[in-house]
Amino acid sequence: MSRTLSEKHRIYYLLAGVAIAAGILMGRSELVLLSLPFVIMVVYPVLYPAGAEIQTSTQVSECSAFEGETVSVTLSVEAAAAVPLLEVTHKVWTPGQVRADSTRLLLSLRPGETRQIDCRMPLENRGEHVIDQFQFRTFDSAHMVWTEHEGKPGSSIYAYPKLSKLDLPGNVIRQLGRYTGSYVSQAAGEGTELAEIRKYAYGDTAKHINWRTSLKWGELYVNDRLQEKNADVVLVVDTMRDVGHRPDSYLDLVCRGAASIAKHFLDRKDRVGIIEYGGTVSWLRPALGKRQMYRVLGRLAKLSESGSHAFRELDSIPIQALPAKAMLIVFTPLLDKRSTRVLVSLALRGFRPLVVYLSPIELASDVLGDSPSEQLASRWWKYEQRRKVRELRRSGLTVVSWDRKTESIGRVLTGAAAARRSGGWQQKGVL
Amino acid sequence: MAYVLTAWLSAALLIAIPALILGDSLVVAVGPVALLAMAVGTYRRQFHWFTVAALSLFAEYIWLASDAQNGISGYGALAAGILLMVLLEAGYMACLLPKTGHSRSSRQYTVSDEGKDSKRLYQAMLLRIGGTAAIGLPFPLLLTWVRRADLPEKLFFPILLVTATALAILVYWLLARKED
Repeated sequence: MSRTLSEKHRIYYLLAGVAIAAGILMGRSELVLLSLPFVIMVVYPVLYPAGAEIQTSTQVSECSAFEGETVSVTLSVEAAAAVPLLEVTHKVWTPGQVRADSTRLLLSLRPGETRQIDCRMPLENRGEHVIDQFQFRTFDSAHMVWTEHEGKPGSSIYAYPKLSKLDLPGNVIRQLGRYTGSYVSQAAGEGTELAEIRKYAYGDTAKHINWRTSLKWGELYVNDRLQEKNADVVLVVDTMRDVGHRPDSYLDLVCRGAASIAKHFLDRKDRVGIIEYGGTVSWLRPALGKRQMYRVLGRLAKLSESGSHAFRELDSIPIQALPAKAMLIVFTPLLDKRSTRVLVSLALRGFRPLVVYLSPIELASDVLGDSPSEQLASRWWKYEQRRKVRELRRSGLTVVSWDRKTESIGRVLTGAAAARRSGGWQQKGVL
Repeated sequence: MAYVLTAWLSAALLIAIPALILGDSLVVAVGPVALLAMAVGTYRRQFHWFTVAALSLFAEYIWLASDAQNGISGYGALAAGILLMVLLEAGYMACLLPKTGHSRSSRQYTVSDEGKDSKRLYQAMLLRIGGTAAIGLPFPLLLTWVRRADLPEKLFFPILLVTATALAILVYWLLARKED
């Protein structure tokens, strides 16, 4: 607790001083009487010092929520003695803001009185929010001295990216990757669905022998079954640069898209992992289940720009994080040359990454002006981006553009499947 | 709103009464300054503008006191002081209250028994002013008594100066120190 003189005290002190000084200099006692009310008010806190004790507790309705959802925080204040004026400052820290957004509330409490303040607020952006940080100041009855009470630092709640439902038909998913959880793969292996009956070969196990066919043809035949295996879906996010304004910046859109894809595949018992590459490379190993869903959402909620001149190649990623034959969906604005290098290196390592390209020009469209020079720069930038995409396609990669205004991520994936089917070259309206 | 009206009313009285009773040219000069400062203070909800208004009215009273032949009566000066305090208190409350509970974002606050707070603050303000006036009432009499006593005229203001300085230092020392 610390005590400080208020602005009002300083002003009254000044006024009293001016009047007394004028009275003494001019030899007029009336001016001293004029200052008397201010003198009384200045002396008042000396006679009745402030020192009210309060007890506070806070309660937050949720420890995590999705973007756009509303959470509430309830503050309970109990005064042991009378508090003539209690100033409660509610500080809210939202992602991407350097300064807290403060709101002041004034209360006047009687001895033993308990009051509750309930605040409902929507989580507008994904990321870490601190919504239960309060500061308390009590004033004496003349509002001349205030006492600051230490508040708790506040706990973090995470706003996960908003999810959208993906309607992806089975054939679309099959075209995107080799193995998919609920769908039978095209490769032979352990499973329940019959693929074919073939002649026995050395090494086949006895349990696969089809006895009826073997007896009919007089030699051993075995059943071949279609492999059923969970898919490994790895979402790769380029975090070197963020473009646009929150809550619709490049990373915000990517997080929403990636979260929706992760939910779709995790619901189908597939394994989903994340790789973030920027100045540093970090990853979340593919796993399945609800817990993994929240791990993925937590990662995406915290995702931020991490561009740096220091760059680590994806070679350092362990095989558990980037399993062979995994379905790779890469989100990138292709702003950095190193992004292209990463994509090509993934292709060289035997992966078939599906590149979801978000045009930075579209994301920064509100910043680009209408002057001829800016228009020229914009055109040049567009041409440069097109060239990058063309180079990637020439390398054999499937690149689809995500137009945030008209397309959902589901439609983008359907478009990607169609592009894969047609060999990746005839992609209409991609740029 | 009530606080703003109170502040304006007291300022109007502080300007109008000396203008009507004593009649002085400075009132014409000071009045607009005080009213303009108050208008800005009311619009911007900044207390220091009310202080500017109070200081200009102080200047007016200092001028009137120096100009008056028989001086202003003790109770008249005290009443002016109380009225100035009403102006400042009302201005202070007018600046204090509207800044609360409003946020730039879409947050919604619900405070239990919200109506009680402003009522209690208003009552406390009236009590402050009433208490100050009650304490101040005997002082004009005391001053008259002191001046009638055989205290040499030369000593009156030096004693006042020493007392005021000592009191100022004491108050500041007692209040400005921070307690942990």
